[in-house]
Amino acid sequence: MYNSKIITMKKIHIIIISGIMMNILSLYSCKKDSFLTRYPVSSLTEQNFFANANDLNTYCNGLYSYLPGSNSVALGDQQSDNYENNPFNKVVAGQLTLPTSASQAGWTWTYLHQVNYFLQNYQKANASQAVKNHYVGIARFFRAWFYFDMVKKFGDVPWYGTTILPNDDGDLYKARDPRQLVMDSVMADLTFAANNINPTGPSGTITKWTAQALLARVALHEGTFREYRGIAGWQTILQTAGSAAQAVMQSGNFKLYSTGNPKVDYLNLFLFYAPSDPQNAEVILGYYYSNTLHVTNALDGNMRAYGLSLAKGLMNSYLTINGTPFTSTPGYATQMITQEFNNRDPRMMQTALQPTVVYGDLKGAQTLGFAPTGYAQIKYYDPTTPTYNTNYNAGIDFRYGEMLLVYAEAKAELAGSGTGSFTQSDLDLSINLLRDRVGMPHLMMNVAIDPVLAASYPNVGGSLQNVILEIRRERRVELACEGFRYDDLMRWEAGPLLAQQFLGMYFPGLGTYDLDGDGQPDIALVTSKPSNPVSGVSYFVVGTDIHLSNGNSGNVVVNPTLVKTFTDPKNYYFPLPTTELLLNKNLKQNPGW
Amino acid sequence: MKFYKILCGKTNRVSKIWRVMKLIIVILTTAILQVSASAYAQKITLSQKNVSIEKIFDEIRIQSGYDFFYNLKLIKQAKPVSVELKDASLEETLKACFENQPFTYSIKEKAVIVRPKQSVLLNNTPEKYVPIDVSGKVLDETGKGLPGAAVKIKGTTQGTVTDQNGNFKLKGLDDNAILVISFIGYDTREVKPDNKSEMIITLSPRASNLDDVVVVGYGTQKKVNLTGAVSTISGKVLEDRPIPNIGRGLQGELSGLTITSSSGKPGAAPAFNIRGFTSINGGSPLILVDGVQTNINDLNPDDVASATVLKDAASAAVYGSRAAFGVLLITTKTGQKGNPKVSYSMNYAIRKITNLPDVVTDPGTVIDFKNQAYSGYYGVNLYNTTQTAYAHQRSANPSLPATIVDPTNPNVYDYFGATNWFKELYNPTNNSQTHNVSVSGGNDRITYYFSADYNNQTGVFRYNPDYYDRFNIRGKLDFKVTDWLHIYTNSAYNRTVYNYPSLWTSDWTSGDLYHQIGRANTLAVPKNPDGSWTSAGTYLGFLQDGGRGNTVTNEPQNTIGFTTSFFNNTWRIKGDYTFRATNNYNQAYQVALPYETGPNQAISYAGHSDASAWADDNAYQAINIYTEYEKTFGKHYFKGMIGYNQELNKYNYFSASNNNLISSNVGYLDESTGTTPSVSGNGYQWAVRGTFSRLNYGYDNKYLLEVDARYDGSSRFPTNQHYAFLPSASAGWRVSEEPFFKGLTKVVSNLKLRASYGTLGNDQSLGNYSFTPTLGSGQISNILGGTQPIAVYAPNLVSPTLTWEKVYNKDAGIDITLFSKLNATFDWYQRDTKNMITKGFQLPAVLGATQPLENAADLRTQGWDLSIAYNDQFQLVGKPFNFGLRVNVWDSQTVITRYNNPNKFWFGGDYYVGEHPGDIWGMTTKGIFQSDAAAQGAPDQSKLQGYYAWNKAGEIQYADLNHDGKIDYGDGTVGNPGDAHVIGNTSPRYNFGVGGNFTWNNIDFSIFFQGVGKESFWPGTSGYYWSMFYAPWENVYKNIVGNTWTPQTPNALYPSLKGWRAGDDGPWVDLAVPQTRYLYSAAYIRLKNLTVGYSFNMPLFKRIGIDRLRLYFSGEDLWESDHLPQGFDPEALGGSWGAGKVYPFQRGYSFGLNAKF
Repeated sequence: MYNSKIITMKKIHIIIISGIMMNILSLYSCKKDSFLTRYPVSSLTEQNFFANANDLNTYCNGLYSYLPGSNSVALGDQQSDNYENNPFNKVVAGQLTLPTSASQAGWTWTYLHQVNYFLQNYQKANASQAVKNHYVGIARFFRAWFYFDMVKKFGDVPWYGTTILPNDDGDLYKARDPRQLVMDSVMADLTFAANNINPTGPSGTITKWTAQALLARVALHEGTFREYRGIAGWQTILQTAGSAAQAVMQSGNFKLYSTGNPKVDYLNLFLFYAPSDPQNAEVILGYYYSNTLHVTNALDGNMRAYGLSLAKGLMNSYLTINGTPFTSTPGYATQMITQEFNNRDPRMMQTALQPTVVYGDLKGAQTLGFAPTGYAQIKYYDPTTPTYNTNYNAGIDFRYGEMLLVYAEAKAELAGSGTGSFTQSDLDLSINLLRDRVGMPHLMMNVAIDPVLAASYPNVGGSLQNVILEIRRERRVELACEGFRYDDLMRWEAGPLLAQQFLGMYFPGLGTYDLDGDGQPDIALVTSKPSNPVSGVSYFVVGTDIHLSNGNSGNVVVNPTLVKTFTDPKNYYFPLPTTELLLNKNLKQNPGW
Repeated sequence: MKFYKILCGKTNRVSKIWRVMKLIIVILTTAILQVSASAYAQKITLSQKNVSIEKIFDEIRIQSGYDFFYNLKLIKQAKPVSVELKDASLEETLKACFENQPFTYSIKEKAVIVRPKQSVLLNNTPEKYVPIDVSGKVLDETGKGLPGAAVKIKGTTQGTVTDQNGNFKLKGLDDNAILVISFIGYDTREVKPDNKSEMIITLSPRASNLDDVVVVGYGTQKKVNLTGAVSTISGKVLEDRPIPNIGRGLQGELSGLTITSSSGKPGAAPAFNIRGFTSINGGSPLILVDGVQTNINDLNPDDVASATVLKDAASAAVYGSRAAFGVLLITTKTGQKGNPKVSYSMNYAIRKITNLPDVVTDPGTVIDFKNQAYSGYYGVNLYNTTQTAYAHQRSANPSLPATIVDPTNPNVYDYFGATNWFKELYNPTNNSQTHNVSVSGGNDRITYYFSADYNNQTGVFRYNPDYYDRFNIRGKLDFKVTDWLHIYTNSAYNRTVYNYPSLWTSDWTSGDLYHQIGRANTLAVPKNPDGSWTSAGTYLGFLQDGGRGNTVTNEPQNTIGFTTSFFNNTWRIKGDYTFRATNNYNQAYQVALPYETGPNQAISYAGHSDASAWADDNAYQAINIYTEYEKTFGKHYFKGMIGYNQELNKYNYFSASNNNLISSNVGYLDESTGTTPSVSGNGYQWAVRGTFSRLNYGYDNKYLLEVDARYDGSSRFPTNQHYAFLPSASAGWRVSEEPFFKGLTKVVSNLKLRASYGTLGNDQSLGNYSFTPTLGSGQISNILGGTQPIAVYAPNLVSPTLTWEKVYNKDAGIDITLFSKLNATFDWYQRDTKNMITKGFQLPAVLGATQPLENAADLRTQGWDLSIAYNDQFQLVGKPFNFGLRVNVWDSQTVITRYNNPNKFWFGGDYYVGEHPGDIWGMTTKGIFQSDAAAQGAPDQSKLQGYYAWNKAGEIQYADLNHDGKIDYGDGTVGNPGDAHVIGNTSPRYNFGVGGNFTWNNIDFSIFFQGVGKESFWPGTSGYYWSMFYAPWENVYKNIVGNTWTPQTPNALYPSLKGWRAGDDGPWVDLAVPQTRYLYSAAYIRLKNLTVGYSFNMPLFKRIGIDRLRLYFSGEDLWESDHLPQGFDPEALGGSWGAGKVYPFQRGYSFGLNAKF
């Protein structure tokens, strides 16, 4: 009796326990196992991020690292014929060598990954489509900018609309996509951005108008690039450029900064500190600093750096105060720096330091070493900085002035080749506004062809050749130092302009010179250092310490032994890194490299 | 005889004490008599009338040489004897004398034992003790006498040993006694003594401990049935040793298990490794205590019943992914049925630092060396002539003051001391103590085991040293609910407290204490004449006044489980659930320390004040449930097991710190005033679950097969890779069971061949969340809307193909037993670690992200393990001498078989295919140039030259191995290494442990050596080695005195003395070039433990309830032999600030006692 009871109990237990075990074992039929699915508890993941609009905003904050700061926008032209530095710029001189690594070559794609990652994940957010579209617009704005820069540098580049997985061989090892295809995508991104980004936002953030401005800039670049290379369809793109610029112009949100003082307004535009400053009227997108947050830039240090100096070619571009070309003035070529600032476009002395002017710690012609051409940059230099390298004047990434130039150039190029019209009224609502600010006479449709400009840009022709050349002058002058010049030369197919010595100021011969106009000699050009030097005079042995274009006289030659070259088409593009060519056989080097 | 009678007489009145004494004497007498008795003749002539039987006995004894053993009380009942005999045999004589007596007799060897007749029961007499004498013969399975077998009286230590023919004899036994007969290699038998006839006891052999049971994964297995590579050892090796933790105690005891300690810090955990280099991502064995993954560092060593190492894939397979590099199974003691057994043990140890560099402190010598090393680099002396002269004066006359005011600056002290900062920092001795109490017992229903342990260790510092307290309690209960169901609990609680001076865990000036103290100037002194700390003395000042830190760990753990058995124990189901919480709480503070550099100077401060705290919480849960079925059908043995395991671990952490304490006496965050406190917090979880199975099949006890598999899941992998199937198989052939082997079994009593192959996964090569991308965050540099907002960034990439790192394990082994006494096990193995997770081959930059880790590397480790144990006993001066010897040796070597380093760069330390991890690339040193001419004529060495021109006398000369006329390391690749080559390897080879022990006559002794047979040591840039060659500020160590090259000392080991030679100018420059001249063998042998104990079996103790009392001396790390430079401990060659710069190791000299109640 007792035994049988035990057995019964046993059987029951066996059944129960077996049942439990079978249940447990049956868990393993499914591959995904929620017990084993453990996501990070104290980190952000794809699973817990992108939940709402705030997450979208937080992510997009990280994309702003792409914006160029003051250093880029104030010193962006060093890679152009606007500067002649010591040491020289290798790109301008055609001395670039083949890079090996991707980072050396600038063939870096981490930023694109950041943007595309957003575009792949934003949809998870619980937000209205309009809000999502705003952030998508910002992401696409930055993607467009990234690709615009990549195309300018390398020409054809592979287009990636999504992030790449490490095993996605198709994407990793694909060939470059044609420039046209990439740029069409860029403009599609920008069009979306312009249509979806909010028209206003916190200072320093991207708005609809920033997107319009970039679209205008990109379309002008691409339109003229295709035009001067005879690639079909350029007219449409230039129309986009014109209409985008026009949209900004007609928005009523922006106007040129002016206090009615032509002698300082242009200079003060770049001494802009906070969104509340009046300069903001012209600023479409500023890159701000703050002395209270201790976020500063190092512009003064960089601009006082040894060897940074503007080229004589840029100086010669400034018209006389009468609106005539300086290069048409008799004896212009032998004017000394002490004379040549007189009676010129006021932007000249607001861009380069006149030797007779004391402007903070900036040293000009009289020290020669720091600005070897004699022309020290004054634009963007803040003479009031209390401590070295702690400037906080904003970098202006987009300003209204550029839009006027885009509008004028796009319209003129189109009209010059028979598409649409370009009239004095177009000039008056664009170029002549810029001239009004600095008190210069208006540009007229019947302006004479400047032979110097015509020689510089031999491929400009057509009915509006005279106007287009002057618009180019205006662009060089107005946007000097802001980082446009190299790109302009490239899109105008004017690369050969780089293959020459960019000279400095003129010296009639040996002797002592009072450059700062204080009645005391500052520098002396000699054949050998004197045994009893005059105190306060810096001695330069010609041929050793200083080189002049005609032996003991002429313009300063900063890099006398340098032979600059520009090979077409090689120098219109940058080389691809050799390691990447080895890793991806479908990737081909740019022509000539 | 008289003596015996007297004693017997006293039995009326006395107690057990005397009985025990008597017994001892009986045994002793027996043993002595045995030697001489056979010499006597046997014919007896008697003619007596009505005499007492005692007189008759005396007469017979005289004539025959036979002794009589009897009880006085019994004899008193004798009738008077009348007898008339001539030349009778003993038998006849006795027959005549015993006629009509109330007792009878028996003859055993040379003794006549008088016993009451069977019919006469003594129950009604007050004396229960009836001594009986027994004799017999112990036979082996073939019927031959077995010499040397132990015959013991159960429950006592008394007994004897069989003679050459297997005979034994015991006299004066209590007739209730039970004899225990044992012999190595044979099953122990217990028999009731029989005094009526010669006892014949046959022992049956057990080839290699046939019935020994070994703990394996989820169960136990008879050792003889094992087919995997398994080593096991009893917890006895840990008992009564002054070891700080179990790891130190197991060092060398199990072949294949390498245990290394990186420092002598109290509470520091040693590192465990099974079978050599595991993975480039590391990988350590899974350590389980009673089946639960546990940190064994804080476990009570006295709780350990056994330790088992599962070395190959087949034996570890049921544990799956965390067992890729072996398993260490620890089981704790359990209660046994019976009366409560109480055991107490204590141990008090004095500890002493093993090795420190010998510092030269004589001021004159030091100042000369410092000047020399300094001027070699800077061109001027470090000390001016006045200072140098004073130092020499002080050397000659130590009574001169060590601190003087600088003659040129009345506000500055000049120091000319002779301070050995090591001696100032460290105490000559420190101490530790351990107390352990356990109670166990039980009845048919319940068994229990309770233990408590307290361990205290004091650190090595002279002032306010650190200390470590460990407190453990464990309680185990087993309830037999029904015949087929047991429920048990296993609860443990551990608490440790580590209290330490703040300075050496915080970066208060420039870092590590052991580095700083090695370069504290011996000329400096700790305190100024006015009692203030000197700048150099702040190292000591912080110990005393710099604040303290305290880390408390609480770890309660409980396992509840059940075992069932059905159908005559052929089917069993077992399950358990464990919960463990681990909480650490750390609270620390530091205060700025004032010091002065001269008279009339403002007080300076070192460090700053702050308070900090951190705490964490770890919750761990494990569930195991498994069932097994075991049955023998004829010659077929079958055992199957299938089970389920699930574990979940959740961890959380936070920390906070803040500067500026209000008071240096209150070091809590509440009393800190800093405006920017630092806080952080994080957490993680991991989970594993798996099903596992094992199938054992045996045919005729000869052919053994085991198949294991685990379908294992880990949360560390992407959802589509959670699970891996990990199968293994092993087989064994017991050759000694084959008929053809029968003839050999006399010699080879057991021979088994084993082989196994299996796969294991390793989920430890991945972080908890490496499978999933995590998004970074941070403040951006742009100012948007007037502020710098936070941004979140795209996550790191995770390879979509990321999968398990796998280990493929082959093992072939042989188990052999010789003469039933010597057991040897040898295993050869090959372990391929495949798909190690590391950097993959370079992808194009368009990827746009840091390349994710890939399964991109393989390695192969080959090695062998050997263990030999010999146990025997013999008779020494009449006492059994039991002894054992054991030797473990193991070795392994690893080679990288796949790695993304196509050019095979070894320079820079990356792995490359063909590399043996640990390889030291270096130059061959030819010697030291003895002349400028010789140097200038030699191949150009400038590529390795540092600050000093090398083409002159006194500089090192390297061999131009590739004869290209210059000395360099090529491009640092294997293909073009210049003159560099592999000069050594830092992996320990030929690890060994050798031990011996014996017990004899209440004395026990054991000795154990452990070491490494082959290993290289390159001192790198350690200041402890290079002295002032490293920096002019380093101390003068004795090894460089007289040993630096000058024209007068041309045979010096070192080149010309100049500062900054060893490492300051970068790697592979000057003396930082690894080279054969300064390469040392790190092989060593160390006396890990020596224990001598004595057990008292005094009846006095028994009366007060103590069954056994043992006193012992035990020494830990008492001695070592090595080839290392002075000051380096063979086990302390690490150190993040340079070799040897670690918390020093200590020897332990301890006294202890064990008492059992």
